[in-house]
Amino acid sequence: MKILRLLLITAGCPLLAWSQITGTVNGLDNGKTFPLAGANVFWDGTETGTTTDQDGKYELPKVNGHNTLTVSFVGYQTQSKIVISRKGTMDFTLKPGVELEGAEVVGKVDATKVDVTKANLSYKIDDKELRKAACCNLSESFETNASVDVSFTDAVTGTRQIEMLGLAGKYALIQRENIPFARGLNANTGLTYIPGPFVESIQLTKGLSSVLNGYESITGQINVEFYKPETAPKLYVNAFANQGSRAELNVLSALPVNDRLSTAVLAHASNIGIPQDVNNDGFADMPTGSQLNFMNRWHFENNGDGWEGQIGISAIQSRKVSGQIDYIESDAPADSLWGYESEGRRVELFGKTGYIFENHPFRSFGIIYDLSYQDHNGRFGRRFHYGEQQSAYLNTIFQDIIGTTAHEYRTGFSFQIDRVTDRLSTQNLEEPLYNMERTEAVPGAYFEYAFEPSPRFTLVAGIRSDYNSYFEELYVTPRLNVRYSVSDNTTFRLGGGRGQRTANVMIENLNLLASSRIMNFQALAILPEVAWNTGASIVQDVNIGNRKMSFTVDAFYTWFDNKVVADMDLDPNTAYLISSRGSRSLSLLAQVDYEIVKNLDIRLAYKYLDAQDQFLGGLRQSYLIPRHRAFVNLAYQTAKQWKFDATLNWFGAKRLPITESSPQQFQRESESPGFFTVNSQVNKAFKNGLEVFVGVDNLLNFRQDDPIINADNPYAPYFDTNFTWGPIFGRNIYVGLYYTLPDKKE
Amino acid sequence: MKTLYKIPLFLIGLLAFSTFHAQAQTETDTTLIVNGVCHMCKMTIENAAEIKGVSQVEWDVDSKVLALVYNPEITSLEAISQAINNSGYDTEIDTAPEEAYQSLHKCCHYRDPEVVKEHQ
Repeated sequence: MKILRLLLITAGCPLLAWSQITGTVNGLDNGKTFPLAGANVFWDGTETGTTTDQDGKYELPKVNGHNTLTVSFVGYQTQSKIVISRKGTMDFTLKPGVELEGAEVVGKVDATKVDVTKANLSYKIDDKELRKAACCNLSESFETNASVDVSFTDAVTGTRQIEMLGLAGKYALIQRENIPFARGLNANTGLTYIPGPFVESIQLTKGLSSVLNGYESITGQINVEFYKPETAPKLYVNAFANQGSRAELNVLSALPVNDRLSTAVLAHASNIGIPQDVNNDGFADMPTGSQLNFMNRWHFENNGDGWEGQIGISAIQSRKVSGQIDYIESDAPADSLWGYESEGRRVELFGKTGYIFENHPFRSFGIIYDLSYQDHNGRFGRRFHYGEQQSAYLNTIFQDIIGTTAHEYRTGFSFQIDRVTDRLSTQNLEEPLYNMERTEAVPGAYFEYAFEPSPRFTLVAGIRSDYNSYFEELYVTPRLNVRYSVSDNTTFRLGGGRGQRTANVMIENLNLLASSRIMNFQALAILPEVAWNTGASIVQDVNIGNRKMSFTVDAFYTWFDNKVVADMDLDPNTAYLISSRGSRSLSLLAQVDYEIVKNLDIRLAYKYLDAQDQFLGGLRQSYLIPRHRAFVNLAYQTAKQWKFDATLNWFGAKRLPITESSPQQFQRESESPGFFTVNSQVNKAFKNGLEVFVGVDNLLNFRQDDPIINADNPYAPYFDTNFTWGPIFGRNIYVGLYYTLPDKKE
Repeated sequence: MKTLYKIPLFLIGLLAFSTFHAQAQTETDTTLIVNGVCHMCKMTIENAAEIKGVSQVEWDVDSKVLALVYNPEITSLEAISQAINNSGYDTEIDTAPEEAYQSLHKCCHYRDPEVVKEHQ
């Protein structure tokens, strides 16, 4: 047969057949392959390329001296093959992957992996890794990632805050599929609004990321990819319950409508019914309440003509009640009881459209847009917070190469408009204590150039310029990242630049209201928060036998030209929210990854954080950031689909607010003690698509006994919940399951 | 008919090889570029190339050059290339069938840039 085919080709058009590579490009989805029409096929480093026809077939002449044949298709992982032959067949099967960003080639998928090809230090965390820490929302997804830590902001609201490079999560740009998500009013709630089981993968970038995504990232970028209509299973169910009376159900379902259109529904419901008080301070250890998420998304693709797009809607409703147990349990609580209530809603319309130019595989155009409305009603004892935000976002991306793929550029303009209300009031006063209503329109433009003369070297230089209508000023944001691989085992990176954000002062400091502190805004200036960040890293692989040991060392330094700092040192009954210059953070991280024996992986990490804020009394350590932090994670997987995972965490001492001027009984140490926690989980997957798990958080049952100062008199001075440095709830056992409907064999 | 298709192939062979000179009437000394990455590849390639009429084979992993001595009356460069293709390896003339390539050991997947990196 092969001879016959060769005969036909050579007899038909002998001249072409001499130097023609032909083949078929298929897509792989749920174990099935199907031809991909309109996929780009090109020789790396040349402009010689083509697109596949309706049957996924292509023909391409061989280019002398260029042996890497690359195939890319929107929504799929780019694949390269080395081809030295002048003619012959070369078929490709692409796996589903990256969205809409033709240039972002995400490497081979290990559970968590440093992407060596990118100019900045980035990790990809996939659903395998996410299943290691099953509960519950995104804020818990970083359990085995040394770069990000998660802690409670206070002892009442149950708000978890991430820390990256020694700074709060709001200084990282948190995106859902390249749309800024946890910003403004959502900066506080953003992570809890993302149910873990919706997440297909997370890309974590340390240090400054691309100017394409705006100017807001300072410490890094967390991009969360949800399951998509093209990649989600037909039916996927996750159920979860824990000792703390939390029950959760997630259902995902994807349906192809026709060849061009597919849709997916993602739904989440969770509930914490019974308040817990293990430390008997009269306050619930975590809020009770419920959360509902619903998302419906559509994906369309006009086969072959280069257009692709998606659109979706999302709605979230959340309700939390906490505070004194008597308050929670009473239908009409007495006015003397201290209660916390929070009701939040968010609706969103989002979409993307992309176009890849025919015969120009590197040229593409994309539009990303998002419209959202969010509000929040909060009660903290006798103080009330109201927040509201209407936002519209538009970003355009045009990318192309200059001559060869050694020179790539991306450019576009963006527009963001936010109308924000951030208001604090009390029962007794008609005038609000703080009222910020602003409209901020920010048109901007960016240009980013990537120089990659060889696979070993990448330089990405970006600049953007944005006009901010609220501050009435034009801001310029430069950023630079360089990567150099000395060998295949050693990669150096260096980067730096500027980041900026607009603070929503009360929204971002709601934890302060869970105290009897008076809020003082006198030293607050109307200025954006501006920081400069620079960092360097080395990734070194060492081959030991046939296994690889991987070392990562990175160092980042952030310096704030202006930062909103909450000062709780000066007076134990006042919280000063101030604008100050000179806050800084140094972060050093060393990590080792090694497969000790077959299927047994170990990860050791140590982090040194020197985070200092410029308080009213001068430069001091930031609150609740441990100077030393370490963990060991062990993961073992058997051939019979058993998975065992255990993490030992060590947190060093954390700085607490100064209490020297408080009465003796309300004083605290200046630093918390160091402590250990152990988390462990066992998963078992079955052939029929079922996976069950059981795990325990805080196995050693370590607890902070007295997280609340003056818990008996919450309306009296010195009541404060901002001293939460450790777990409040002790050992917490949980069980759950994942079920994926197996594909029907055709 | 069967020999007809060989003519253009043979011409490519003639054009492309930098060192092509007939040593004697009965022996042809030439080279063929064959892609591969490791010692295991070397054994497979050399074994596959040793078809009837081939008297010497030596493949170099770094340069990817297969040095050949064969009798042109018994066999041809295309036939040798074809034999190598059938064992799963691409030559500069033609590609190996997908099934043959897939049957190679994972570490020999020379088309995969990741595998190539690991061998460098």
